[in-house]
Amino acid sequence: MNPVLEDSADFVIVGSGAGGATAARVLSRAGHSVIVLEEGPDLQPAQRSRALLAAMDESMRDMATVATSGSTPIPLLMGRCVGGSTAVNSGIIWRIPEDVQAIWREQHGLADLLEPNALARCFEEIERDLGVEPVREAVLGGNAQRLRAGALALGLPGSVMRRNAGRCQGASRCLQGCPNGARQSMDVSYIPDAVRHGARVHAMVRAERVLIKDGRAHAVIGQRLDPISRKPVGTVHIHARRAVIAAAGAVYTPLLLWRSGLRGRVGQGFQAHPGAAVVGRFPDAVGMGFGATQSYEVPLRERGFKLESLALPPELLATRIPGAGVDWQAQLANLDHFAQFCAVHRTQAVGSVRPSWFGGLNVRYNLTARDLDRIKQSVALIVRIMFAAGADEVYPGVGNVPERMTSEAQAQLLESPRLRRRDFHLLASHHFGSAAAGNDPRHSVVAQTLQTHAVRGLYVMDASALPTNLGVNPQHTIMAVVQRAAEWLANSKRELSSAA
Amino acid sequence: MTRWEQAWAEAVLTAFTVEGSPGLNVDHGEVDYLSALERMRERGTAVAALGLRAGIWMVAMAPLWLFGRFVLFGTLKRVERTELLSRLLTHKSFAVRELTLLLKLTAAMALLGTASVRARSHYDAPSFVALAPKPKAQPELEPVPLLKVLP
Repeated sequence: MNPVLEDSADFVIVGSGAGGATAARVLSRAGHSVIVLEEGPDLQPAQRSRALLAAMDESMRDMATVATSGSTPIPLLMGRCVGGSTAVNSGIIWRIPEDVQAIWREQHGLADLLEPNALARCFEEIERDLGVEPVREAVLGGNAQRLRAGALALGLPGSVMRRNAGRCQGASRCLQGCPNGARQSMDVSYIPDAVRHGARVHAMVRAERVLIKDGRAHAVIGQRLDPISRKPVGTVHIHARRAVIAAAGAVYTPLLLWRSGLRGRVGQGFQAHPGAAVVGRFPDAVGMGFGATQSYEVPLRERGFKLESLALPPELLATRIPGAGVDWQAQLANLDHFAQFCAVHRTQAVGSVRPSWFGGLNVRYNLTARDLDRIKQSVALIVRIMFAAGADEVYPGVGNVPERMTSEAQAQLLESPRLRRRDFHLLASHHFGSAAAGNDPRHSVVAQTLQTHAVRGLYVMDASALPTNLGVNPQHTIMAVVQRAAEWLANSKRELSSAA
Repeated sequence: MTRWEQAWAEAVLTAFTVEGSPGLNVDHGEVDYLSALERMRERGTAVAALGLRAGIWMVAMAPLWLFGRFVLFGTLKRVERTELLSRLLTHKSFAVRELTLLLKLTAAMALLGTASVRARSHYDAPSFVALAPKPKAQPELEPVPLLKVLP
């Protein structure tokens, strides 16, 4: 295979999601030359497919079939297109909780990175730039209205979500990609801004490894992919005059580091927010097909989970409705009568990410007994909320309990000690900690600057560097932490590469 | 997949719905189930592709190990196929449930991914879509001032 792409820049960034795009924007605005490598395609909002199968093919890594290993796998949802996972998420914005900050400062030595005034400034700038605001009542949608009604009836502390989608028109298509460009994902906000300031984006390029010489990162070696077949069509060699920034997410960044020869804590400390979801049928029309995909939440931090409204595309909603045949089809003829709420869990489990024998990856991640208890509690609570909101039938999606529940009293079945991990369908879209930041090289991969302890000029600027999970949606924290570190890097003394 | 595996797959995926049903009426000729299956197999991970294939084998052989009848899935009557799938979806074994659910997901992708079928599901109810607000202008991004702070 002949080289088809050779290029060079001050900074080479692998990944264009929340971390990579933020770094690209800060560094390009500071006058540095920047190249961003993205494995997926560059999709324009109007190009995004409505049909889920096509949309997942275009923008999700491996059709969302990457999963943790073991006998009860958990699918790991990741975007693979310009914008990364921000181009397939719901744009929910939460600042890093105070209790998490305290742990990171005291146990991981990240006091400078989390300096309160500087961090607050980063959050404010991002919120201003992305037009963060509470979801307007006009696009709240029937799905979220049912969660609000149920939470109010049970006295739970719910609120309208803050999102980076001020122009949301309620297309209910965040997962497939906003067709209106309303959600300010990185592909329509920070990446175009970085490009206006001179950054170059190479889409359909898979970074394989970082070339390291004399303890310093010099280049990224990869492959250019055919946009249709996704097969490699040539090699890529991008020289980095100052630094390489790994921002491929908490699953693929550790693989990149591993393939580049880094070891130690690389891939250790992987954490996630596994989610579980419950569908309910209502006698009156809900209209899941209209409204912000996610717009109302019930944060129950002291109980270890957060409940959210989550509208599904019809393909996934149909899959979640029990049964097959005539009964199933009777339900499918009235898909506007269903609502779905989910629970996102702040779990204790800590796993690892490693390359597998066959060139893939191996994500080990096993829930603890306390994690399972919390999942049982959250699913039971959602069932109660569904009935409180007026549902006449609820589908918990849990094995070895009735697949259709018709009374609130049945919710207690979901808290039974007989239920095991394999009875629950889980999915994890938030991943953390696989190249964690910290001041002790024995327990971390990168320093506060987000530069690796082992290799000069090699940085990790994505959720891999966050030392623990958060219990809230991570995009805003990733962006703020990366902005702070990228500002340090943009203004740090120039280090000349010996290969330059 | 071999030709007979494809035949099994088609028999399994079409069995999630019944033609002429009083609910969401589906004409199997309007839905391309096998293309959806192929796309899932080609674009998913190797493990997922293996799971889909294993699921088809599992369902094809299910009359034997679930009903104790020495026949293949494709030879069952329509109503028996649907009953068998319903039982597999609630089976006590996690692996059986998950593999069947993966096939149901594939069938649903093909089914609701067909515009004419989706239109009959009332998911995109016009009364709700009519509520959509008009877009408002979004300002250009403001410059980010860089602080000269070194760690």
